[in-house]
Amino acid sequence: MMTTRQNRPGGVQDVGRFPGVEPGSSHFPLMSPEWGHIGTYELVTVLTILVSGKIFLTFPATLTERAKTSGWFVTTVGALVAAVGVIAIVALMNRFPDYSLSRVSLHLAGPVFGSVFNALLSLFFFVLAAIVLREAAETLVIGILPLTPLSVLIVVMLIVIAYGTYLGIEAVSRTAFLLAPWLLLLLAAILASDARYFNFVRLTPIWGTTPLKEIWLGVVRSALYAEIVAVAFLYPALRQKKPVLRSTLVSLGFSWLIITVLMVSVVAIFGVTGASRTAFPIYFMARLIHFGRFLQRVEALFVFLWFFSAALKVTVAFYIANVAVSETLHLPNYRPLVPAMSVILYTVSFLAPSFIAVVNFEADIIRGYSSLICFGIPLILLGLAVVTGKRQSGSRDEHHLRESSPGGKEGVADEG
Amino acid sequence: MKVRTGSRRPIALAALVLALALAATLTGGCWDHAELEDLGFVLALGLDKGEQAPLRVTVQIAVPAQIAPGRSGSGPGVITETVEGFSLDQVITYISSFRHKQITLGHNKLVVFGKELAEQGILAWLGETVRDREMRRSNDMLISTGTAAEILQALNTERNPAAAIEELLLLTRYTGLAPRVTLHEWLTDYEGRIRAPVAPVIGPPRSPEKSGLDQGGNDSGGGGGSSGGGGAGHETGAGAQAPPKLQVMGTAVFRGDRLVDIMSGLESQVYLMMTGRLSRTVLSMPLKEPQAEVTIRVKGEKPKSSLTYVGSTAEIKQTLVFEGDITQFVYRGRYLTNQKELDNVAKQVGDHVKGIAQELVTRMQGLGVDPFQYGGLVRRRLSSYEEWRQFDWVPVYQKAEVSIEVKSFVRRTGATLWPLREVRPDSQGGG
Repeated sequence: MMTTRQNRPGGVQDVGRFPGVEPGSSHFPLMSPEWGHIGTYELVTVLTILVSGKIFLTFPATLTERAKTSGWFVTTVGALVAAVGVIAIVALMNRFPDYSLSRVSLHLAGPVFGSVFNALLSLFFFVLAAIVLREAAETLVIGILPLTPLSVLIVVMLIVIAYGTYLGIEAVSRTAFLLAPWLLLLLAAILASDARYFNFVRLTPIWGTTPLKEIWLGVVRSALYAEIVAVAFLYPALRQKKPVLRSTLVSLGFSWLIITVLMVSVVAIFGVTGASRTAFPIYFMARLIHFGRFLQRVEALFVFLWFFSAALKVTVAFYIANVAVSETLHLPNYRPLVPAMSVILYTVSFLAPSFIAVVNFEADIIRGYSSLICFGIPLILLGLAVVTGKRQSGSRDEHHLRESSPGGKEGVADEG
Repeated sequence: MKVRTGSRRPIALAALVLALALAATLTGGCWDHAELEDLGFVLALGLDKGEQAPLRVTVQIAVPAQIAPGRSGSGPGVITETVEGFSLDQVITYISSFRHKQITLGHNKLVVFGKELAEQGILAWLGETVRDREMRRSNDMLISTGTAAEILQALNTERNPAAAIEELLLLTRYTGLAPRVTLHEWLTDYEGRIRAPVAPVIGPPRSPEKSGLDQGGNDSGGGGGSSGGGGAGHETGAGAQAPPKLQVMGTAVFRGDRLVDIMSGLESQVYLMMTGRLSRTVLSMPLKEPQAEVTIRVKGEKPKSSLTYVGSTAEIKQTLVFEGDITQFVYRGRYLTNQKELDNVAKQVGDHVKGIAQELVTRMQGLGVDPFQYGGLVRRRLSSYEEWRQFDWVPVYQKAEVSIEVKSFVRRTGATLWPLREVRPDSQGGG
């Protein structure tokens, strides 16, 4: 009899193995409960940080350059469009409550188109992780550590990110939940401290160009909430499926609030030209803090904010990229992919020849077209699900009952 | 359920050692480490037009042993160096080479621009300072009536010159004789085109001005502040307390990035009132009826402005509101004993302020600069930012009819309810 770690005396349960899965099975197993569970609060926190984390980087500058004084309007229209996307995503996932989006994609669109969809979604999160990693490291080089090689900063961040990814979404979401109040507190401290620089005339005229152009910009820039599709990849890990729509909309609402308040503040403090020109407006807002001679030069305190928001955002994006790849390739566990994917992430983060190239790529490509991928693919899949009437039959409990029954195999009935 | 085993301990231990080693290596800041004694902290930066090169940079580098609290150092707290070059960074590097210190701008508190450089345009040099990662946009900005080097040299004997200037600037909140402007504020005003950028003026001390329509003139472009007339003057006699070597008084006004005018101290007081930036100040002026001298401590309030178009002409109406407490009233007789008399004083003070404000607006319209943020009134009315960008406000502003109304109130008359009663000399000491 072969000795496994599970039955070895005093051994640690191998969390990556799926009981009841035969090697070479054509069906990918359901997400193992050992991979972790996420509560409603953790889901809201993870999604909010994933979506709104971009505000600490170059996003306020690039959006102000396009939307001028009406950044707040563009973010609002974008949030409304994204809300429609969220409703579609949750409607789709409610049909397959124990699947992740990548599996739903394979199931509904078939192995070829499903794999293409998964590749696009995985690529989106992977490139997003690479861009945020590079931008966060560039912030540190430009603002704080000019002589430290970029590679060193990226490697250090990558160690944290890879470790978080390896631990799984439960560990990451709990960390996010613990850090979120502190991140919010620091953000509020920056805004309150810079109140003396606010000039609301800088927010006028209310339209950047014309209302119609702004609405169209808002529709295109709904991509700034594209990361919200992550909920579809976290679905199998959610403890409660019922409040998912509400909690995802709440996190979308929080993200909108954070992004919009900061966009308004950035323009009120720097003006349109200044905000478009300043590489990291929120960092420079922290550098403006000055209370007489006793409280100044405090931006070092806020590096905490930059590092953790970027690390959490990249970790979740990287985790989803890994999960999507592993599920598309029918691998039973994403964890063996993490080291290899980390090396690729490191390489990809260096592909851009300059910081400006990264900024332009994010502003023009990622924030220009990612709505098509992140909201378009779930919409297509929802259409397919409705037309074909497919849905997952049997809940996770039923699935496990079948798994544990003698001779029980995959336990997933595909046809509705 | 996870069960820890002894076999995993070495791995955990190795991971811990690795983590500690990494932390020890990385938290030390391998590449960016700097020993404190190797750094030369610039406290104040002066930029002037150069003779051999475009830029003459004067830096005050701290001598920590002299500045440190509790040290009773005998020498000045700073070393001042002046070097010419083509860029700020080049000059800083050059100074580092002969001062044997790594010169850093991270602790700089203020930037002084020489008048000649300011008249030539400061954007190129200001742009360079804010691009520098060490410079803070919260640095104070000053315009010297002469050269920036003179200002920094004059402060050389101070133990902590930057702190001395910071105190002077803090006092502007109390004196209202100059605005306090940071690099950030100057830049956002310049880029935003909502109001013309301004900066406080620093120079040798001048006598206070006496307010009044007949004496409230300016010495535009001539070094700021006016000698006024009949002021108390600046005493330097033996035995008197040593006068401050420098004074922050007056407002430098820019068209684009070029200095075009300097408001006097009195005009600065009124200007701050017009822009809602006045915290408090003291105005001293003669009254016509009764013939008296009044000194009034004024508390600033937000003004109200509106804009209407009559045909193609813009009509701007601004209402200044201020409250004042009478602190001195030089008058031989009984006055300020009822509300009517208080209202009379308040009205005359208001008329004085109105006159100065109106003259100031006319002068600025002539120069084609709008430091009052009247442009903001138009900006609000336009439909889009693109429209604002294409809109040429200055010609409209130059032709605009600006009427200023002043609502002034005198609430208190100091610690006395009645004036001192005049006593005939022959009645004194008679028992």
